[in-house]
Amino acid sequence: MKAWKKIFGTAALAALLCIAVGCGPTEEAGQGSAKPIDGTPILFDETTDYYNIAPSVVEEGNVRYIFYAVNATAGQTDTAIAVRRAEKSGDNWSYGDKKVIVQTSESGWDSAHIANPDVIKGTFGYNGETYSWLMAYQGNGTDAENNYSIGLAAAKDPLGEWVKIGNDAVIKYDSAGYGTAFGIGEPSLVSYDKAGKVYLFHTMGDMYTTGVYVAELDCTDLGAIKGASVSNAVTNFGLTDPGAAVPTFSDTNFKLDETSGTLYCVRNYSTAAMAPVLPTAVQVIKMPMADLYAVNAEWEEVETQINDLDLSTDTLDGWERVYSACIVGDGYGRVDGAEALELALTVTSFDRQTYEYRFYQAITGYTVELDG
Amino acid sequence: MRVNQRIALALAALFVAAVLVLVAVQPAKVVRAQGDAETPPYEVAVEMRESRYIDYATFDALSVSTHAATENLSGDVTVTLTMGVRDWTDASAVYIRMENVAMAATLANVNIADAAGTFFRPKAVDFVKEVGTTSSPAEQEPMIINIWNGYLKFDLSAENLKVIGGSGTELLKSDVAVIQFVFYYNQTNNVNIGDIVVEKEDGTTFTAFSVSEAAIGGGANQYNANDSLGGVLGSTLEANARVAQLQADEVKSHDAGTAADQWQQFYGIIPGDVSMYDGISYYIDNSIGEGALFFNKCLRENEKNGVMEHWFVDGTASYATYYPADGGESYVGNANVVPEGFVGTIVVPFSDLQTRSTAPATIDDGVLDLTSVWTRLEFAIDTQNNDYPARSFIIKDIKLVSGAQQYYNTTQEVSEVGDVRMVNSFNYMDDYDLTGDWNIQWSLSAEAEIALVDSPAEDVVGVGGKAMQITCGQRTSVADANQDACIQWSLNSEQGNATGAKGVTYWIKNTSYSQIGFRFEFDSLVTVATGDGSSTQEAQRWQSLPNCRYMLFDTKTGAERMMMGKSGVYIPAGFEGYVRIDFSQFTNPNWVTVGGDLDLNNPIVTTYLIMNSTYHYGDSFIFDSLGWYYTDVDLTTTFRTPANSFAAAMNSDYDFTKGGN
Repeated sequence: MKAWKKIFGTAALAALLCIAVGCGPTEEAGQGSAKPIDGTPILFDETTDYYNIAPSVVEEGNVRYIFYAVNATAGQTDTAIAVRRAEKSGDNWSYGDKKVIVQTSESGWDSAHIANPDVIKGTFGYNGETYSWLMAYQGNGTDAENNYSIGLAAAKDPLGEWVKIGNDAVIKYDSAGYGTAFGIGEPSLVSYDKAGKVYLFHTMGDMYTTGVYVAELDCTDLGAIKGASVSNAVTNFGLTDPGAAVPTFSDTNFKLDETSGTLYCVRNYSTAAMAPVLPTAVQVIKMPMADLYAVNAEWEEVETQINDLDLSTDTLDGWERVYSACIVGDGYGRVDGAEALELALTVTSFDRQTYEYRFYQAITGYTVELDG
Repeated sequence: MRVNQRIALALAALFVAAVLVLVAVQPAKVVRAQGDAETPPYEVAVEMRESRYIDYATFDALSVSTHAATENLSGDVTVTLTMGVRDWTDASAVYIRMENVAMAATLANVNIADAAGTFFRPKAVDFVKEVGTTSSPAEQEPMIINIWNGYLKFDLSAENLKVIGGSGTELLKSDVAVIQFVFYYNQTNNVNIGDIVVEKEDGTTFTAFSVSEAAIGGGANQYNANDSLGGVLGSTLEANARVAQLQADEVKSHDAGTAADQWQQFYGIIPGDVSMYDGISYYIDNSIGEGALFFNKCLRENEKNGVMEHWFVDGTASYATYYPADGGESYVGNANVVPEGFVGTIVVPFSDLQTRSTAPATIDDGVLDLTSVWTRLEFAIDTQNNDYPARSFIIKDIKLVSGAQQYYNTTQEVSEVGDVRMVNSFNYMDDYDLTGDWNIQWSLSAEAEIALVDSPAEDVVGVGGKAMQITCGQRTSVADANQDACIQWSLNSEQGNATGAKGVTYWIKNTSYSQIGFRFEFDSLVTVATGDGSSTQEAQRWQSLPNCRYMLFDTKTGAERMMMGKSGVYIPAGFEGYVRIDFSQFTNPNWVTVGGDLDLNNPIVTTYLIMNSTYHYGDSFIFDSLGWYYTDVDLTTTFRTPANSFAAAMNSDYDFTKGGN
């Protein structure tokens, strides 16, 4: 059971990495056809020249910023990180043009692949400058899609310029000590003090298992970050995966309701048994923030699964592959006093013959009502 | 569980303080040793008796054993001895050296045939201890030989010999050809036949058949055997019967044909109270066969609470004193594995005995009561273990002795450090002392090595002195085998008292280049009603959850960390510090049948560290300061330092008299 779990977990993570960094045959550049829509509307139009994955959405008043992974070059698999700005019009958000803000480095820890951005506000000093936005993202320096680490970038404005912090990852995966595996990635930032201290949640997958961990970073001085050497395990008690003795807790996004002291999380749930082997749903869970480090902490389900049934329309059956979601929060990773949680989810259609899906990936939205 | 330390200490005191202590503390049930046994050292001879699937003789003998594959198989086997000296003129009696080593009486008929081809069967048989004596002859047919070591005596007068075949009427004493022994297949027989001595009317004697000079065949002083099913010695005969030639004191195993034959045993008779002895001594010659010998010993307590608790000198991590026969210096060697070619005396202390009950996961109380033991001391060899290929050896002068080297058997004293009751600080004298207490469970497939090392910790509260280094062994190549390597420790009542505790803690240093992990398990001794008004005690196993949460406290950096199990409690490469696992993070393996929640009022009797050799072969770590902790601790992180941190708990002045918080 353990060996299968390891293989299965690794395969699922590898599949998501394929999403992030692209693998397999590329489509011809310039095809420019509209993405096929299987369910709820996508947040912004995009052609099949580009894949859109792993959103992170920050709302400030009537403005939203969506950070996500996208290929920098049409039809290629050179994943970069982009941002779009949206303004609210009535009940809808209208997203503007894409701007690529972070790309792979020429060399070093993030020279091969980058993906999965998450962004918060705060006060961060670096090399004599003060930045008010911080991004965490995953990257690696080898062609293989494994052994990821997490690094940081900072900006004074969400639209850039984004400055990478240092020449190395801040949360580094030690493949010699933990085996070649997914590594450390899928970061999620929540501000601790609305200044320079942050919680950095992340997935760690090693040769034995996969789980979610949290590092407490003092990024007041990004040139001397404190706390990066210790990551604490986030409990997976209270989670159940169909058919699994131990749940796979990964690809998460966290938000804090400081008024109620509740920590919310959205995670991948229920991977498909057939190609494409991607999650078919995400799950929303919650826990008292005060229990984060308690030995017997347990998650409580808010929404067991959000799947194709939830992401269908009157005329469309719904997105069959749903994953890499985020909870929309304010600049500090807060959802204070929320009566509902708005999610942005990665969804994809796929070719029924070849099961190709890469360039069909898009981002849609969903709202989870919270009880009382 | 180790030998009851109170009994061992009492014996040690007796040995050191001699008569005065003896008079002061001698229990009433002590059996005095043979001879003048007012003062130690004590010893008592162990007479070998009974064997199972193994040949053993106290004299030069032909060993005849039958064990029919089919119950109550009809038929018989006949062993024919052709006399070396055939002229029995003026013979008045014949004495046949015989020893019954079966578990029960054996059936036989004895026929004497002369050169004229007439077969005679004695009517009466006399069982005597010496040639030239008489006991109480009585008629028997067939002859029943009870557990016996002596001579069968037959009167050779015409009145005592019945013709059963041929044309003669009286035995032609001038030319006695053969003597035959007939054994029936409807029971198991295991008999040693030795020299045949003839007594003449004038009282003189001669040896008509000498086993030591015999060989297979039909000629003078030779032997053969065949059975009524058509088998002959060396062929199908051996499916149901076997004739082997042994020298005196030789043990020879049968070829292992089935799983039932794997362990082949012989037994010695011992007193029911062996409390005045503390070891087993025997002379052994492992030069007559090939290879090292794996030679297990087992002592059983009398039945208690429905269980006959077995105590084995088990595995390859027990030690004994070797006294070479050539007068060389004595040395410490393995208590079970006798090197090829060793000749001399080996003394195995009772402190090497480890409990293993008659059923899996069931023990009695883990305390060896030497005052009430089964009167058979069992010896066994594993005939399917090709690492130790010796299948025949000489053994004699088996005794129970006092003064057997205890190899320190240092009991780990319980101490209090912060909010922790340290139950094992690894204050052992040497590797023998350590491996006498921490055992590698050899019955699982993968192996491990343990060694006593200097603790690498510097200025760490509760850590220092000595520690245990564990190295995970190699996985077995047997398909589908359990690949776990297991190190276990049996706790005494004080060590196993975790009443009111919150969880288990230990100090560890990962000296490997990668993360290492193991399952931490323990047995809680539960009283179970048996339904007839009585109760028994059973071990209820608990193991760390696959995704357990546990805390680390790095004693070099001061950092604390919450970890998640990965089907084991995993430690990062290079980490050194304390681990705490709350008892809520344990569950029962699915094979446990003893139900109920973990009740810490029940004693914890065994702890286990179990590694998977598939992933950890060659990985090594240092383990120390095992204990139970008594307060809840909160994690210290970058953003918070709670008052009840891990570090604070280790340096606290916890009042154990008030119980857990």
